[in-house]
Amino acid sequence: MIVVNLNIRGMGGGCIKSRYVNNIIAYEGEEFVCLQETKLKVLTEAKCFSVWGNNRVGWLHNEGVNGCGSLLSMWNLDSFSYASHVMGKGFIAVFRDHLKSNLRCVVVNVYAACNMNDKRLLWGELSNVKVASQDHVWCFCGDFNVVRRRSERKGIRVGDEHASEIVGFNSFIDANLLVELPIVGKRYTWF
Amino acid sequence: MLVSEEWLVRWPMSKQYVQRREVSDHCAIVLKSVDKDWGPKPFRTIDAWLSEKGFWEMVKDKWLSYPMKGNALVNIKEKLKSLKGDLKIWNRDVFGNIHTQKKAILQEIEELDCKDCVDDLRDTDRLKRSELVSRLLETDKKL
Repeated sequence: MIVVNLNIRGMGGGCIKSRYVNNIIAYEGEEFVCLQETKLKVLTEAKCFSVWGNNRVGWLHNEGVNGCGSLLSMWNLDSFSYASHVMGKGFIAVFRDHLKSNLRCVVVNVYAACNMNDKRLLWGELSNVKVASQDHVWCFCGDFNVVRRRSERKGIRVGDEHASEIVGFNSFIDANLLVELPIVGKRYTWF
Repeated sequence: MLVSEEWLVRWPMSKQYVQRREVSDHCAIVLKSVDKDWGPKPFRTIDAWLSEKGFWEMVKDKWLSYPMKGNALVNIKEKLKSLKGDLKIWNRDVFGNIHTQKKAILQEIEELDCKDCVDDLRDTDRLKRSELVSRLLETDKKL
């Protein structure tokens, strides 16, 4: 299964961003794409088709609050059969049957707000969603806006708030028996 | 990206591949599980084999020993395939690893030289040493 993830930082305007995403999809093989911060109030069908490259695409858009925390999940209609979805503040969980592997998959697209309280609520809500469907195969991707280790933050002082954020994120991962996948290429994907 | 353990059971080679940063201040990440199947392996030889004593005789004997299969084209393909396997064995058992060979020769020379320091070498040892040196030169040619 192939999942593409990108904080796109706005999808309005020209077609450069669409073409960038489209190139990755075309190269890697289209299965599932998670975008964060689309910053769009309304997402048209035409926009989705142009990002995807053709019309064999299903999608869910979470416009967020005032454009903040907007999310877009897209998937290949030929790779998955319909099941259901759950949408909430800062996440879209798409439940689908992956046809090639014959597995019930959930791909959760996450955008965590920067403040700690919202994060705590989000981890709680995501845990509830996962507990309700234990027999599925899960993938959480998106922009978590948090690190797992102090050493991952460079150039800024790590305060108490950061420290408890790290603890909160790690206990979410542990409680839900999640595994952080190894990274090939750059260690940091944001700068 | 985070996945459940079941995901890793189904796609154990899953990794995050970071893409070039282009249109956002974030890099796109591609999660995929790359299987180790690199497709069919080509037929290859090492130049140093060709000048090795007995190599050509071995190839000729083997080539003639393979049974004919199908039409001419299929036959050649099948024979090359069998030869590939035999070359692999020959390389391991007869030709050996040049680097290991060189190391072994150097060590033997060293031992003889040490002996020479303590006590003059006998003629047989002297002969052996010059033989080792010429073998060393042969090995160096192959590298």
